[in-house]
Amino acid sequence: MEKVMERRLLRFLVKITLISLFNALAIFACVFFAISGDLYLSTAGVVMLVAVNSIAFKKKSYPLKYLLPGLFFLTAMVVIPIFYNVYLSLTNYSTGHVIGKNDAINLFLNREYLRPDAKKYSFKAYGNDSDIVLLLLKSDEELLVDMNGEIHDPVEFDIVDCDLDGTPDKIGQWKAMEASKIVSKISLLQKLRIPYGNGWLRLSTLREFRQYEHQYVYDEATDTLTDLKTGKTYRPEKARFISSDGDVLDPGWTEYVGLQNYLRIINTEKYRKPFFGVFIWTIEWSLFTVLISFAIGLFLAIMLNDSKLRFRKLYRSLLIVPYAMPSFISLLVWRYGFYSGEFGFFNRMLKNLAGISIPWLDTVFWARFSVLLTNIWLTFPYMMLVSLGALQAIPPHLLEAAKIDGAGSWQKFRKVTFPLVIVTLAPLLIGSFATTFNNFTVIWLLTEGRPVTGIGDVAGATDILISYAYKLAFSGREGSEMALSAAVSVVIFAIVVTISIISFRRTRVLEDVANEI
Amino acid sequence: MNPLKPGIIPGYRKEENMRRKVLIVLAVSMLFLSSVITATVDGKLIIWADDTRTPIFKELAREYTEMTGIIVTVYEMTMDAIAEQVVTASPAGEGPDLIVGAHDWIGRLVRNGTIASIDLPEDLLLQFDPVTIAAMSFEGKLYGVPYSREGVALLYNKDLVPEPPQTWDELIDITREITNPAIGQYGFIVELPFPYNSFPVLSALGGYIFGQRSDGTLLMDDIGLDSVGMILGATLIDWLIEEGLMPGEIPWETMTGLLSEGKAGMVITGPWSIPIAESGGVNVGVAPIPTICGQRPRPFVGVSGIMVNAYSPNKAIIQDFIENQYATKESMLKIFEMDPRPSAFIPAFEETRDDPVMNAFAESISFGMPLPNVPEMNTVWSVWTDAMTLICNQTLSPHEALRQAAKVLEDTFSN
Repeated sequence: MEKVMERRLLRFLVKITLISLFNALAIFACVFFAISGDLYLSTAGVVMLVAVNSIAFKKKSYPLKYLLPGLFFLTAMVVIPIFYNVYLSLTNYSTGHVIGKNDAINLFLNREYLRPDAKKYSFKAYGNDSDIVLLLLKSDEELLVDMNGEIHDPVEFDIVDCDLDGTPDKIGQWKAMEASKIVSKISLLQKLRIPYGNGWLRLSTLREFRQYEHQYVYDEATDTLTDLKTGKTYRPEKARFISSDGDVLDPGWTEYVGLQNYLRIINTEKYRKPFFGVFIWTIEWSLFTVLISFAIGLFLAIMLNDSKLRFRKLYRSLLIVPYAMPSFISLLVWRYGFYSGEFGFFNRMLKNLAGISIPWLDTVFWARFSVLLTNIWLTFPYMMLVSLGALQAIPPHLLEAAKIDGAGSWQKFRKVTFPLVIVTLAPLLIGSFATTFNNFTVIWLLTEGRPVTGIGDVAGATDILISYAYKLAFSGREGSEMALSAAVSVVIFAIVVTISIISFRRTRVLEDVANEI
Repeated sequence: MNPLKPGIIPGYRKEENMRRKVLIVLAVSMLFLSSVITATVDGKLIIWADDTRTPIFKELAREYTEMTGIIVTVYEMTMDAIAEQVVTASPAGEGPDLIVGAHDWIGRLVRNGTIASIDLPEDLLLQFDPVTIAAMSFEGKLYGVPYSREGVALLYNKDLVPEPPQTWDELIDITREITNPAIGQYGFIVELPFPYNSFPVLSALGGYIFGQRSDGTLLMDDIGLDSVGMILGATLIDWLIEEGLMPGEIPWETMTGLLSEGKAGMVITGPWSIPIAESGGVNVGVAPIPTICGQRPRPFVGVSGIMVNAYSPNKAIIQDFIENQYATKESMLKIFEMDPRPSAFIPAFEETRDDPVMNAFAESISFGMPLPNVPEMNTVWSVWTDAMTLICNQTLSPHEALRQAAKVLEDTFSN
């Protein structure tokens, strides 16, 4: 009895320690994020903190303990990216539009320029042991400046120059400071702006102050930017500042554009035309891959399931190799080793044996054939493995009964084995379809979507929707078109979800049939 | 040679293991902390550089800290990571003060507001090779301070080609002599269809991408993909393929493979391919690319240098670092020593002229033109590569393909 109590106490103590540690870290993180301005992260931290504590101490939420880590990662890796993607697709995020409007305006306000005749000042700092109080700037004139940027009349101070070298050793009560001391105050000196002329004097190197002038002023009331150098006025248009004669300032900013990106996909021929072609090919690619590799996998599984076959383990191990090998390596071997033009293994063999060569990755038909061939090779071992499992689960008495009823092996397969296998495997096949639908790696490592179909086309002949979306992201006139690409991803997401929902409905019908057997 | 060869000294392995574990733990914690640490800090400098440049800039940083007491930290990242991450990290205050990069990033980075223009004193500016300054400028302003320039030349396998050709006709003769597709041996190859390395051939007879004003700024509405020179150049390449002297598709991987296996006589490529060739035991020489009809081929010139984060609070330290530490003969010579490419700094370049390999590259690119740094190059590369693909696989004639490509570009840029 006592021992149980002891153990409970110990468990409680451990729990308290762990939770306190977690809380300490979480509170630190929240405060840290709040200070550095990441309000979203800070709020997320507070939510986590409350959730973990309430789950840990509330008896009712016991099962949540086991779900929480899963939920956390689901939110972080799936839910947030989906929402972010949707959000991005409603903006104009692309090259030239990557920062907020206020950031952009601040960049313009901080732009300064150096006149060709700009004054340069050497300087000397005066102060007590730790702080700089006064600066003496020297060019053709001498300026005495305090650390607030105010210029003082030297007459106010008692100036002492012991060695008569023209540089004072002491101004008022403050002594000249050494260079090393000045460097330790460099961040203060860097921030100092001394109003002067149309601009300011500021530290330009560690040894000099130079005279800079503002380049732009911003008028909040009219939302316009004026270039002081040229006198031109810039108005905001399409998330950029543009002058009346068409001069555009960099950078622009991101803004909400509503459904514009979706409309662009529909209205621009350059994007719309390939979309449907790519969509059809993506369906073909996924269907052929899943069906053919499933057929091969099931056939091999039935062979391997036959206890009369010798060396079954050896065959099984060998057949799993394509699946077990990292596809990054095998895909590159297929591309450069087997398919590659005149240098590939296939064409060298064909040339030696039959004197022909096949444009494996160069024409539309053969490139599609080749990517399918390779992907089927990569997928069939998985299909074989799951089929083996499904075959094991078929009750032997069913097959025996069929045999007694006089069924041949084809009938046995057709009427007993196949229906039972398909009921078990249908969800896996749908999953496999969805994976293949979005299998970026295989397409990218084998062909990068090539061959080219026409000059300037975004999509190549083997591009599937996801690789098309990826290419779109970088296909902008000036680089990235992230927002447009996000819109395409949202469309793909909708397509995959629809297909999956319909297919799962269908399999539920199959399951009902199976239950009736 | 090395007294501390692993496995020879007892206990070394164990220590190595321990050290590795500590390193892994450190690396993981760095990963978590990195976003915090790399943030631009007032009064300190942070530089992002790739693996070859990191040791160089660490050395410059060490000296600068000794000289001034200001701490400079160099973080190693890949080139791609630098170019991508600096765009998002800088506005968030998590970027570096300086990045080491290539001049063709500039257009995109300026469009995004990521980098700031740089004012250099006139006398310092004059010490740089003018081509490199032009390459680092965008819309009339300087956005990077160069240190080296690079471009392609003719690499030749001395065992197959004892004497490099002077003219295109000589090159063809040599190519005919040693090409033997049956054993996979080619006299002359260049990466195809991606047109970066083959550009000298396309440009020799006057091919260009964008027209230029006399001050070097680009005329975006004068697209030269279908200029006579470009079409003639592409015809030369097309002819080599039709004659069976060159395969119709030579991806980078195949090109380096043939080079390092000693199965390529001559290759148009850059200094980056020399270590690859030497790793295969190939005895390579470097020569300027042969003249075509007496005209000098004009390779693209790529310029490396440093660029300034527009959001950095350390503009004064950056300016000081550039003027008093980076753009000096001593530093530029140090950079050359560790990364031997023709220096962009004339006083340093003059002093390094005794290196034959570097000299050959320098001569080759002295006729070159800077790779345009406008962000529109993104579209140009893809459209141009499409056209070259259809030329090389014999689908379209050079004339048709390049005309179509130019048309597509005109349409894209006009709206």
